[in-house]
Amino acid sequence: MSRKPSGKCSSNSKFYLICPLRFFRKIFPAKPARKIVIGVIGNPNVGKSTLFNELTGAKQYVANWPGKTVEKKEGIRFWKGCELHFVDLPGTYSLSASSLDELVSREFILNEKPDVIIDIVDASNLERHLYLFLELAEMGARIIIALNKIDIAKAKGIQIDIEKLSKLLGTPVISTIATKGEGISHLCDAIVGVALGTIKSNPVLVKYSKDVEEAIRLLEEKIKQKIEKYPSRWIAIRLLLKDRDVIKLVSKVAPEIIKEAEKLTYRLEKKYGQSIETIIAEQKYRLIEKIVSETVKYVGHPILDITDLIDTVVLNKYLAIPIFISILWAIFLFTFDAATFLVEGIDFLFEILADFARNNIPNKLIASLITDGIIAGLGSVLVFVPNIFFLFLAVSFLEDSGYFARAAFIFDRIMRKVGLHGKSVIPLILGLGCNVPAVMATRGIESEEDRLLTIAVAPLVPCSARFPVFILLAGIFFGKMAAIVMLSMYLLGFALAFLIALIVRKIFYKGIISPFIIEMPPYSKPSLKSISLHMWIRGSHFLKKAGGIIFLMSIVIWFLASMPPGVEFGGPGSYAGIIGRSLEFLFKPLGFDWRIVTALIFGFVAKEVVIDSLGVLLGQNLEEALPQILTPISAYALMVFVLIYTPCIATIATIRSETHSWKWTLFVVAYELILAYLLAFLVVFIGNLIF
Amino acid sequence: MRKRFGWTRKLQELPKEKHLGGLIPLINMPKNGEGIVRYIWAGRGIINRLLGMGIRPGAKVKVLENSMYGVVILINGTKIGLCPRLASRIYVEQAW
Repeated sequence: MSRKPSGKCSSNSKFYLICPLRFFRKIFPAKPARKIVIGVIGNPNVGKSTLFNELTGAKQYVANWPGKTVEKKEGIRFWKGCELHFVDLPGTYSLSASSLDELVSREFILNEKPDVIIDIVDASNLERHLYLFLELAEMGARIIIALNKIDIAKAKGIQIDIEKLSKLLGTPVISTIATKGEGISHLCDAIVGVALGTIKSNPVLVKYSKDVEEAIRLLEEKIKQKIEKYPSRWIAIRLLLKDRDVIKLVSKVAPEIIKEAEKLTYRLEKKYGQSIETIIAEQKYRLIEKIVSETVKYVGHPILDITDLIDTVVLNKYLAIPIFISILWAIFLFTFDAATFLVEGIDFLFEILADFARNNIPNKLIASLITDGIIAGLGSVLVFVPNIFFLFLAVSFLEDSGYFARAAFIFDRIMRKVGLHGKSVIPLILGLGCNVPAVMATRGIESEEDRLLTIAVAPLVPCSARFPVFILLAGIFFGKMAAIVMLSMYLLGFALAFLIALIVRKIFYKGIISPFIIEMPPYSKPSLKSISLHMWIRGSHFLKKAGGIIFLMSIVIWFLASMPPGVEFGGPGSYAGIIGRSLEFLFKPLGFDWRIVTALIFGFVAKEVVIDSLGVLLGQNLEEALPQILTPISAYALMVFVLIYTPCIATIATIRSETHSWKWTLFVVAYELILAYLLAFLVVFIGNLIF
Repeated sequence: MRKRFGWTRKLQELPKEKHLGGLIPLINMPKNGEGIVRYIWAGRGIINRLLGMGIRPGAKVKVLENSMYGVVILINGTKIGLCPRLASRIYVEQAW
């Protein structure tokens, strides 16, 4: 659920304890500031998040839109006695509600009726960006235009008569350069002015051709009597456009209007020989063309674009994939090697902490809870944090630079063959490092179905935590063949991911893959401020969401391993041992004994735990102990099992928080367990036949 | 038979309704070829998406890349990548 923001940043803040002014305010509260709600909207790649960050600073919080998987970002700024409450709406090209993002934005504008809408428009591409503006205007919103990237437009030789543009559009137009923070104070002034009514905002409405206007008028008259909550002209236009949600809304109160609208639409389509969407859009663009021709001048010739130069190489038939792989390699090195010193530092700190607690807490049970449960559990999460933050830093850099759009484009064809989307490629590759950021990186995929599908298969990609398990088992059992066995694990992981994607697509989504369209923004140098803020917001979001669940689970596992009181930690008498032994019969066909089953149960926390717990259960020398309880065939089966079954609690927690659905999370956990068992069984079965 | 989604259905309707003389799909345009979009043959969701991005009948378009990965076009100063399937459904009048 979204939280009401007002309490969080101002009055509830604990800062009053240390800040005298806040303390003073706590006792003598100031006159409550007037709250102004502002929706920030714009096309993707217009610099919306940069501008949003400039407007609100780090005072942001991220949640999901109620009941949706779309991220909702909010932030606050105080300006001239008013509390400006900004809501970041998803980047969209239009508001036809054909995607979840568009639906979310539309519902916000119609139902929550924000005081002001800031429409961010790219100065170097007015024509396309004004389309969204005209749709907003029809919805009766009070709009301010932030004419962003005015510096780039100037460099391209584009001159815009801002005053005239403001007059023609009927709204204030403020030029901004989000990357440099220019124009922000003017924008805030305009917001307060429009909200208080001192500055007028009467956005221009499109005048369609005679017959379209006639149809709108006919419908509008009837709608006016029945529906008051929404602007009737907008409803009339949406009805002509056969908008599903609007039809649903109107059919509740006045089903006869829908039939009328259908008739009118049919007549218009027949007359123009085009679909109604095209007719309406064309007339909107005609107005835009007129406005642009009156306000924009092109001086001089645009210089040769560096973007085009880079693209001829990056999108080259032969070079595209090698370049992609090298960039990927660079990300990996950065995420895992550059962060190593931090990881080791945190590990070291936790060891000291655990030692300290063990030696200084007299009660043995509490000491064990704190060291083996809480510190070990928290440690296992926090150790990942530097990797995750570094990965997000690298990903934010690539995202802001504009390369991701190219990578998705290159891979769309290949991914499509296995039922995935071009934009699934990045999450899957990131999964090689860690499945958690992989699941989070699926946010870039617009279509809900494609996104859920990618999330479902991402955990099958063998992450770095599974690597130590593979290397240990392969080393002990396969000697010289170890490298090939390792490679087979990675190939199997990807093959299964594609296979499952194909199957799930066939079962759940009837073989429909949304067509691929992607805007390729010009390459730009990301600003350090923007990408570090990006990293911080996403990284801390992960800590809050996943951290809680991991913390809880580690206590549960500790409880299972050390209860009833007095047993050896993880020994046969503990609850974990009892569970392991009672499940042993299930795993007998695979050749696993109860100690391996127990280790696999602990592996739910994280895959590297499998080795640790085997160490505890079998005594330290695994190289001697393991061959006694496993044959090479069942060792391979164990590797397959570890490859496939649920990666770790952190991933499960992330899937839950990203999909907002326990059902989907459970589905992922269940199919992976079943698949892991079946394939491991198959390995044993075939292995025994051959050898 | 399974119910098909909008734009697959339209696929079967097109040839009867629309006279496509002289128009060629984007996918058949050479690299650096220019033209004007005349007809888009897709379902409502995709049409809306394309229209919002400025791909509309009457818009000038230039093909920047045309390879096995898909087609990259320049429209109104914006680069847009399209999958081959979609590129074969956008018809343009080629300007020589």
